[in-house]
Amino acid sequence: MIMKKIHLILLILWSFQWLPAQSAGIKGRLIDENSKAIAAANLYIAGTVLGGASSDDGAFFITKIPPGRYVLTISVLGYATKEIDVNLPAGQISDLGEISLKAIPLQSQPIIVTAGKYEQQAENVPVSISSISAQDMAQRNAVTIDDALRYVSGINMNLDQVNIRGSSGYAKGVGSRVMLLVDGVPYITGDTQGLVLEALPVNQIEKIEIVKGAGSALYGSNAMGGVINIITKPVGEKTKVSLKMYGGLYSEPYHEQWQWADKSRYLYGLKAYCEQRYNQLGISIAAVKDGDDSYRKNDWKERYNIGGKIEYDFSPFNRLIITGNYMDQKRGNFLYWKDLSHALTPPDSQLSEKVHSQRYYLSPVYRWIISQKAYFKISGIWFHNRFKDNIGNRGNHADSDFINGELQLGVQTGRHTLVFGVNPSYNKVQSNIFSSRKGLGAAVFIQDEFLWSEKWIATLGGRYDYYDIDIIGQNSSINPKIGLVFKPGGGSVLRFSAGTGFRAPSMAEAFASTSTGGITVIPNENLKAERSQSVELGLNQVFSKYLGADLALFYNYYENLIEGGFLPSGYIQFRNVTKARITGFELNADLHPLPRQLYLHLGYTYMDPQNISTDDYLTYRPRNLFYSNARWTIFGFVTGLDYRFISRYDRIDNTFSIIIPEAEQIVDAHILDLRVSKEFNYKSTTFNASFQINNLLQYHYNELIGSIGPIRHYVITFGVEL
Amino acid sequence: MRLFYISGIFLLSLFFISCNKGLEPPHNLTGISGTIHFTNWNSAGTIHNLKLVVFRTFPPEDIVSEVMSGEAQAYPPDLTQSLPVDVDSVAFTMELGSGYYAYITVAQQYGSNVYEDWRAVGQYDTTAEDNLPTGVQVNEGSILEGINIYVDFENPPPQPF
Repeated sequence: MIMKKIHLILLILWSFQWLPAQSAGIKGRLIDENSKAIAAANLYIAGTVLGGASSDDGAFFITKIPPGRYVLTISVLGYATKEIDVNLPAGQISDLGEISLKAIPLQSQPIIVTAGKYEQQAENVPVSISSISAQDMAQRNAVTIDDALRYVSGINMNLDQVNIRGSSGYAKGVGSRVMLLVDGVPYITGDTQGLVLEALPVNQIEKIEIVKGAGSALYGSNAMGGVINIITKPVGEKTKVSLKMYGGLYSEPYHEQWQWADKSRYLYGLKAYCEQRYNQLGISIAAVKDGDDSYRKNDWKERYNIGGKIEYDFSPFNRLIITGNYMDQKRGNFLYWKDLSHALTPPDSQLSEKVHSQRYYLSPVYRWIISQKAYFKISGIWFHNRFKDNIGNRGNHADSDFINGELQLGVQTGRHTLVFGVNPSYNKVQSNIFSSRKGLGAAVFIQDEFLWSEKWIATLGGRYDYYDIDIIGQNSSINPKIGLVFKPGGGSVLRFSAGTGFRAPSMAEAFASTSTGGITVIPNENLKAERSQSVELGLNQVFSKYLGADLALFYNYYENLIEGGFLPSGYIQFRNVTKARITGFELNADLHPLPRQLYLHLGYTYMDPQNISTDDYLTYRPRNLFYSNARWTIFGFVTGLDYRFISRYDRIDNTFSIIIPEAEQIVDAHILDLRVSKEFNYKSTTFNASFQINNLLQYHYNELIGSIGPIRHYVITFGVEL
Repeated sequence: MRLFYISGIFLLSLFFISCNKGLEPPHNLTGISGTIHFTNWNSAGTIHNLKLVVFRTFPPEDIVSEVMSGEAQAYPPDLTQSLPVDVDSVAFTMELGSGYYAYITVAQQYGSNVYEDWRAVGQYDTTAEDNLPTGVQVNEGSILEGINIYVDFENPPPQPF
């Protein structure tokens, strides 16, 4: 035992002693079948932490590789993944020359990291997955993460609350049933367990992965409705500096009666990003300022984000990454309209309400590639949230901290890929609403992916969570999952998954105690965890290189859903009140009628969200979502169109009708966005510009009851990248 | 060329789908307006909330359940908002559906139970010979003016709740 420890220490010390002088390198250029450069392809040196991305001219350059034989994997959406055996002698840069990738737009599978906590081909994952690329976000000028999520089929936003396939209604941001991760690390607030979708600079994001379905078997509480993983950009070999600015103007509302401002309303922002590598050290910094006058009165926002990332390679097998961000936001507080005659104006008493929030986090991740078939990862996060407002007689304030750590070991043995981990967490809150509270959690998880044959992949896993929430006390939850993938050939992939999920009550739901305007909210120290069972059956079919489709049937059963409502005493309290069943299907189709010129995506989701307790519909769940997206590249211009249809809620919370005037006024949403962009190079500098019109049809729809979604606005962007 | 036609048809269909513009404001206001006059605030006790409430029938059962069922409407319409306190008078314009309203009252929430702790402190009454409230007929597309109510916290009207 002692010898093993000594060996381990020596191994670590050896890895720190690794000298760049002994290293090898590899370079090349990626092109397609028409000799056109392929940019933004991901390259991995298997068995190391090393890798890179191709630049705009298709070139890549990876250095500091220990001499030896490796497999270089090249992956980019729209092309067949390529693996190349390379033999790298010491002290030499091996030039692979031009590498041609075959364009097969619908048969290539992106690499996914969220479903199993390690890199997997998307077709090997037994659950529904969607992803949003940095290019998608840039083309739509997504200002915050929710701006990007609004276009993902199966998702709708109830203001800032994410609803994946009907999992969440609306609870003013409290107790999210969707887990948000940053680079695989939980990113939720300690007080409300809500998602903070504006506290990251969007220009630091490489992509966003969305798992649609219960993820508690790997990610624990809050993941019962799905998981969103924000993956930040890796620091490349080349120095990169980019600057982007945007400016926009809101139209006047279609109905003159709603006009409230005597001057134009603008939105504007500036995004700066730079990355630099100094041998083993890579640094990136992203800074964003966003401002928004808003189309609604007292809905203005002013926000700063400054984030950074440090990557340090102790060796080709050991990498430490530290990411962090600081956000400061001041905003008005538009909760709901005064009435339908004044739909863009809040009640008079709320006109001076404002909220100031500061949120910052620090997250270190250390990854050690022990061998070609084993790795060890230790990660953590400290996420601090502070807000203060002037709402009510005394105003509200809260300071909360969320600390989460995880040790993870991944081993590939034979046909098994095993992942084990332990995951302690701690959160505390100090507030005049929730008073002084703290909570503890600890979990262990394990997952085995078994490659039965080329056609069959089975996944079995589970997680045990223990939690202790202040005076609510201790409890625990076991959540297993099973997954099957069957690839019979002919472009078909069948998948099946089943699992359970849970969500422990948040501090806000359990301990909120406040009173305003004759309404008193009282705590509930007897709250129990919500629980769920989920089943999904899916079929992914590639018909040709022009057409592919994915069908998912899903069934979710929920118990003890926590909802706030009036008690007979007249007080408001969060209680475990609802049993629910949500069944439905989601159909997605990808079409490439003109390969690499015209792309179409159609996504339709049908949900039947039933409240079993009351034999009625669940509140705030649309039954139909239809999202379509077209992208057409013509004469060097990229044009895009998004059309979204969201059916009206079948049911709202009736208690709101005594608070929000004309709350029952809800309609279907038809939202059409158009955009055109152009990118051009001058010497080594890339310039890009775009123009977009959002809500072109000036259609007035509900974002939530008593709240109208963004009216038509025009946005111009201009960017430069060195 | 076929692609252009398909795109054109798709866009046109979106325009047709969306031509109703979604939510729209009510066209003509229907309701009542007037002034509430207050006296003897020092006898009011604790005021958690103060509302103008209009009921279709008299006597009503209670305020909150009738508002929730649509049998009564409150002003300000947001339950958490109150009429101003410690003022001599306040003017109001309240939107209502057309029809007959039997009871217009100013109600005070004096305790923390939002369901039960209410009392009437003033009512619309144009007849001096009795203490019964006066009903009004509200017509579609017009505001019935002159609904003036006198609140004397020392001498509240008969309690219907």
